[in-house]
Amino acid sequence: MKCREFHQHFEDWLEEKAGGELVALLENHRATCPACRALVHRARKASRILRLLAVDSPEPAPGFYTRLRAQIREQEEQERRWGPMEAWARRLAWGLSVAILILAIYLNTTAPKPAIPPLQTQWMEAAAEGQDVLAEPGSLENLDRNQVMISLVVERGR
Amino acid sequence: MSEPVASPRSESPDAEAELVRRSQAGEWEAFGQLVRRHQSRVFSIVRRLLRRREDVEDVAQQAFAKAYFSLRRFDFRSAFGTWLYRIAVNESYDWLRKKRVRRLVYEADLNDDQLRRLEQIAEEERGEPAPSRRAEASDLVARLLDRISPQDRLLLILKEVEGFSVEEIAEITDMNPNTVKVRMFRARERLAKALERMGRRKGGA
Repeated sequence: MKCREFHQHFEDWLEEKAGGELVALLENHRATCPACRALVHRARKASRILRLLAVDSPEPAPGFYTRLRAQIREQEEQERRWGPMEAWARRLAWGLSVAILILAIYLNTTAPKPAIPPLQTQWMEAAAEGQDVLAEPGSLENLDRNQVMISLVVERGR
Repeated sequence: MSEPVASPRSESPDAEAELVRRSQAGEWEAFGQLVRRHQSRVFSIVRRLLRRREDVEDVAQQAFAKAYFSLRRFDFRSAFGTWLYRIAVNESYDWLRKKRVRRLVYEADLNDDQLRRLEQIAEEERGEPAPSRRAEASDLVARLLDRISPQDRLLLILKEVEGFSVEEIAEITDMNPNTVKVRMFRARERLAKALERMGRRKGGA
C-alpha cells in the first residue's frame, strides 16, 4: 500500500468502517511508514483535543420554548394578516403587467403609421434631373442621404 | 424545557416520523416534542460555530422557527434530525455573514501556558475532564478552532464533537460523502499543524 491509498481510506479506518483485509493492509502500512504513523498520531491528538468540547454541552436558557412558541405565533399571525393582501398584491402586479403588454401590442398594430414621404421617388426625380444625390449629400433639400438609402433597401425587400 | 431529554439517536425513527407527520398537520404539541428532542444538538452545533454565547439562542430559535415553517416541504428522504441540523448550520452561517464576523487571531491566540495546559488536559484526561477543568478546556479548544476556517471547523465539530458519521455530515452539509472524507482529512491536518505551529512559535519566542 502507498501513502496516497492510506490517506484515501483514512476516514473509513478511523470510523472502523474499513473491511478486514483492508484494515490489515492499512495497519501494515502504518507500521512501516513513519510519515503515516505521524499522521495517525496527529489525527488522534486532534481528536482528543476536540472531544474536550463535547462535555461542555450548552442548554437553552429557561423560557426558550415559550419564546420560540411566541415567535412562531407572531409570524403565523403576520402571515394570516398580510398573507391574503400579499397574494392580492401579487395578482394585481401580474394583472397590470399583462394589461400593459396587451395595450402595447394593440397600439403597435392598430395605430396609424406616420406618412413617410416617398423618398425613393424624390431621389429618382433628382437623379433624372442629373443630380448625384448619393455623392453630394446636400444636393436635395430636406433629404438626408441615409434616409434615402434606407428607404431604397426597404422598398427592394418588399 | 429543563426536563431530561433522551438523545435523538436513542429514539425510534418511526416515533420521530410520526411526530413529524403530526407537526406537518399543524399539531403544535408534536413540534414541541421534536424541539425538545433536538434542542441540545442544535444548541451545541450553533454554539460551536458562533462562539458568542449571547447570540446562540437567537440563532437556534430562528433555526427552529424556520424548520417549523418549512416542515411542510420535508419529504422524509433524510432523517428529520439531519434536516434540522442543516437548517441550524445554514442559519449560523447566515448570521456570521450578516454580522461580518472576522477572525481575531491575536485575541484568539493561546499563550504558552494555555497551549501547554490544553495538551496536558487532552493527554491526561482521555475520558471526561474533571468538572473544574471543563470550562477551561472548552475555552482553549474553541480558541484553537478559531485558527482554522469555518468550514474546517464545522466538519471537525460535527465529526469529533457531535459524533456524526461521514454520511450524516454529508447530508447536513450538502456534500458528497467522498468530498467530506477528503475535506475532513485535510481539516484534521490543518488543525494539527495549527497546533504545532503555535507550539513552535510560542516555544521559539
